[in-house]
Amino acid sequence: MVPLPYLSAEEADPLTEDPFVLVARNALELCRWLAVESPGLQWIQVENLLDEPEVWATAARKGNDVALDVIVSDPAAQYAAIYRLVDVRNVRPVRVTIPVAEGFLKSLRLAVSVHLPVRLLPGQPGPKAISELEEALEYYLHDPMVEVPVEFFHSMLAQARGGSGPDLWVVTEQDPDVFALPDWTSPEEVGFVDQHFKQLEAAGAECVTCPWKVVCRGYFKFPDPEYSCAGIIPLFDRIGQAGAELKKDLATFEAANVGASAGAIDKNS
Amino acid sequence: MSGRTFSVILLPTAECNVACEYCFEFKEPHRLSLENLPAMTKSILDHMDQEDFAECEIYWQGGEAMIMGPAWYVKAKELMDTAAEGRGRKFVHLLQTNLIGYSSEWNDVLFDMFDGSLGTSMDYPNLHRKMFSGSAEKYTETWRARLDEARSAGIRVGVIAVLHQGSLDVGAEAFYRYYVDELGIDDFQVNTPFPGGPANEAETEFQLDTTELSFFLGELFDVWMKEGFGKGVELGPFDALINHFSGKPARLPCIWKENCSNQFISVDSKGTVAQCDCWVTSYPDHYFGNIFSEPDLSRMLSESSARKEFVERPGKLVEDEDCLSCRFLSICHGGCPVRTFTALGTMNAKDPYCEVYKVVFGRAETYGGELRRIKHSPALEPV
Repeated sequence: MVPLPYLSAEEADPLTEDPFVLVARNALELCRWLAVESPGLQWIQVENLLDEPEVWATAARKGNDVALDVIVSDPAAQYAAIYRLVDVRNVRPVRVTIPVAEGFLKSLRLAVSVHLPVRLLPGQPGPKAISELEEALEYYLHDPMVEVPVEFFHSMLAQARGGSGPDLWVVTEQDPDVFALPDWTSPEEVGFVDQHFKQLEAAGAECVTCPWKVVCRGYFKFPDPEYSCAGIIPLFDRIGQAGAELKKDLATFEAANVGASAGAIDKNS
Repeated sequence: MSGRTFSVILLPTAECNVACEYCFEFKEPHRLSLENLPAMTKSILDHMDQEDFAECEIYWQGGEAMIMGPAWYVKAKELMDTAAEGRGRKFVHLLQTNLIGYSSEWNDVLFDMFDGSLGTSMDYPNLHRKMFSGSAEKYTETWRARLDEARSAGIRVGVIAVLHQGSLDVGAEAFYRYYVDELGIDDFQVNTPFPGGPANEAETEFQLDTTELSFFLGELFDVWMKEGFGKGVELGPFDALINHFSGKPARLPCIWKENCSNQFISVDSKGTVAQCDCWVTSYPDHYFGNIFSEPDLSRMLSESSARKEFVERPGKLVEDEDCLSCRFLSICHGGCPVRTFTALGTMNAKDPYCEVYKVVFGRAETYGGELRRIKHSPALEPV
């Protein structure tokens, strides 16, 4: 499988039919790519433009249909600027990507409140960020006002209720075998995640006995393999518990449905 | 072309044929001429082109909109719709009137231009809507006669009720029964009041205690759910909230939009542009510009420092108020700028009815949740 390339505005060719992601880092680049019809363009990753209101006024006009993935580089400070994406959301798909750092919950709450799907990039969060992750997870799981998917919670929950799916590297779009990220600095080898995980197992990392190793695949042990997952594992336990509850509730509902249908047939016969 | 809709609250006159005590509008004898309408229409269409709006809703209000007479609207529709059609755009016309000037002469234009429907206003009890003679009783009597005539002609009529102290005093049950049972209305909306515009004696009647108002609206919600919801009675904004919380598409009122500045403007008969009718008739310091002297509406809106305050308001509220931690942020966004400005002298604060809204949202969430459960409950399926 050829990884999906992330190309800068200088590198990208609008006429190519091969799939690619355009990385726009200034207003000119974004506005130009919003105006072209490019068969290979999958979406535009927008970096460092949240603070420029004029850009979003332009993006709210129709142009092409291309989706935007807007990176909130400083989620503790830039959260209010997410309001600028409201009109853009009305004319094209918009997702916000939020790095998990202290204060990220503000950006998450605002994005959810204006109905924007979210991709969280957990990285290797510190204690305060983990505490916010726990709060974010409860918000996602139990607040009925949350109506948009919040990744990685969303995919992990789907798997926890019995489905199968990609691991955390793919869900967060950080597996270099699938996504050829522009800022990727590790050795460019095929099978990076497999190799990384094998190394962790060989080194006797806590992943060996971790119940979540299949979905995590050592995500939280990169780049620092010594990172402690003490705060992360309970988070996954909580997702697992919620998935089990959901599975049980759905089974109960389906059983009741079958019973009710049978009852209805009896009464009508 | 995008599917977005833009709205213009168009005030063809500042004149009025009645003398409501609490009116916030500055009245003067001025009307939009048919000679000026093409220029206004062109500016609006240019803006629609620029912003890629396929459709524009024109909310005709006043003053009193019917003062212009039906023949004026026939010509206005022809002029505006022809211009829009020529540019691949569309105007949708809606009328808000006090109905006092209605007669059967309006029926053709009501059906041709306004899809056979109109919006009007009546409070209960009516203590403050008055004829120039000074009588609220005469106003109510005249309005009811016009209401009956319009409905007899097949016109669908929606009613806006502005709450005042008298409404709270009679209670939610009596309030509901007046509109639904006594008037036979099946589409009405309650508005929270704001004592805007020039100071007047009736203002104190519209400065409501939020606890008392919350209780009233909560009870009204209960009465409507019990007696009206299942029978097709529409009661705004509760109906939109129920749709939202029961998982259906919902069009929430402007006071709870993410940002009203991106969705509509108001233009008066002199071409003054402001955020909504409340601003254009009451607060000159917040005008965006004039559409006749600055025909490039898009440029006016993008450069207006007054409008910038509206655009930035929701962002400021999540930074400066407690809105970000409110679980209803997604359906409120800090509430209405003009209610806030009128009460506090600044729009950069959350709506003074915040606690009232939370009560209403909570009610809607509870009822909406129940409706979802009923919908999905096999035990309650009809057999």
